[in-house]
Amino acid sequence: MTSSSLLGFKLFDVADLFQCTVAQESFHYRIASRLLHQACFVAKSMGLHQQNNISFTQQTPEEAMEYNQTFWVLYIVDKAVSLTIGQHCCLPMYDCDVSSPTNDISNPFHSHFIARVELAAAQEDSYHVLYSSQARRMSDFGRSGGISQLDHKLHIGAHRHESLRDNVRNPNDPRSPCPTLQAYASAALGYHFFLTRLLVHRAVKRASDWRQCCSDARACINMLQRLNSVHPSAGCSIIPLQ
Amino acid sequence: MTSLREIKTRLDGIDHAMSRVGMMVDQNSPPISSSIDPDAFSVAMLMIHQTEDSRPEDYAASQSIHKAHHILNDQHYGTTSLASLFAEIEASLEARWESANEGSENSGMTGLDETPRECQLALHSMAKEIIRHDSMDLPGEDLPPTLPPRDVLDHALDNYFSQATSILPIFRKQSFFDNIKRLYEKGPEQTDMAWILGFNNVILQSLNISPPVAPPYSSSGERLHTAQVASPEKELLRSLVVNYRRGLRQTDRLMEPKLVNVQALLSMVGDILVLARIQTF
Repeated sequence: MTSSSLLGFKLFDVADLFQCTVAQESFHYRIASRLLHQACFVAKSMGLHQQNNISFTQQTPEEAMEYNQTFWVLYIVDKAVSLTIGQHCCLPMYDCDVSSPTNDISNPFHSHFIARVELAAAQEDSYHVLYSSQARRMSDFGRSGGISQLDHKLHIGAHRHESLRDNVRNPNDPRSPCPTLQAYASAALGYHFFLTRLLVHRAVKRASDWRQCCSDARACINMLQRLNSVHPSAGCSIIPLQ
Repeated sequence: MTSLREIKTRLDGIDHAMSRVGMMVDQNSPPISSSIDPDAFSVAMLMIHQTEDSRPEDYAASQSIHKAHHILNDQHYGTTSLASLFAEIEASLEARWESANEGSENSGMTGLDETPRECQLALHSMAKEIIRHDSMDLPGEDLPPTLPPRDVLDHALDNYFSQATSILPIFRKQSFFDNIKRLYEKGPEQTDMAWILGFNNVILQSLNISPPVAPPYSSSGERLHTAQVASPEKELLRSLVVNYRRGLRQTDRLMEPKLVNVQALLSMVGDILVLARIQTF
């Protein structure tokens, strides 16, 4: 991405500029990437990515849940950071054999966690299909097919977790145990969903895709503005690690 | 009179710093933190907060700030090796100035060369700025991270486990509590860096979540950004940043295939966000 291509000031370019500024100046991605690489290395060396194959016989059920959750948090953060930097992730799903996140009834945001895991998987697919080294040599026709499939997956996921994202419209809902945190969790989920879809559709230069990108970029910015009105400066905390 | 009082105040500060440096050299160990009396901690924070806006020439206010800083420095991580070195140089220059001054008085000489004094004042200004942003050790120093104060950690746990960890759960609550008990009962000379960093990062994350200590509105009615909150949080943040930096320089000690190492590294990734937002990194 060159600065000259961003001078048209289209809305989704604004979102791109925002991401670049944030990535380059505010969030020390090189350090985050280094720490993340090391975390993934240590995780793989202890077999955290192959919990179904390797026997952790000494574990209690609580410990097993801790191992499981730590892996999935690492998986989510790995996708978020690598997609922002533009590199392949360290924990590709084809090399992992871990059960789905263990159901934690004590965590009121477990559904958000599940949704984030599914979104991380979609992010990995997006990179593999559209932004990997091989994908760059793909024809526009092939790329369009990939975009349609990814968009369909995202649409299904969005529909399944629509109620979680909708909570951001009612940040002061007294029924929630912590309305601010509820708004934060929902906004984070929504933000990453729209951002992922934006990254999918911007891979080709078609008018219909660009309109979708505009809409998604606008949604990202609106979501951050809405969240900042509830919890100042929390909007920046969303990007990109939560 | 005012200038003599200022000199006395500065000498007191240098003397205190020299005492700490001497203790460090004798013990050959990094600054040791200890659990604090919450009331003393609150008093120190309040003193700093109340006197921060006072005029520099206000003697009573400067004394109060000094005393509050000493309370914090005694009960948190202490000063870094860079700040300690500055304090030592200042003390040495001051001693030379006093010695030269006495010599000139005894011999009846006038028109003493002011150069050493000017150097000392310039160095003091530099040191004052460094100590204000005291979050750096000398290059090559491999000081390990130290246990944060137990009381501060206990206060942070509720916020962390009820909010931060709900969305992306890194640590398990019971395991975390068990290791707090294990490490703090053994004493401050701990080498389990992964858990120490975990404790440090939990406090950082909880500061990110909780509302600011000071009222969230300025006197003119504007809503304050969290980074603009008064210095009580900044004093705590300074210590946490020092610990974080030390951990960052020694991540090679987190290579063993253990779950806690993965958790510590993950929490450090998250903390980069916090530190960048409050612009102390």
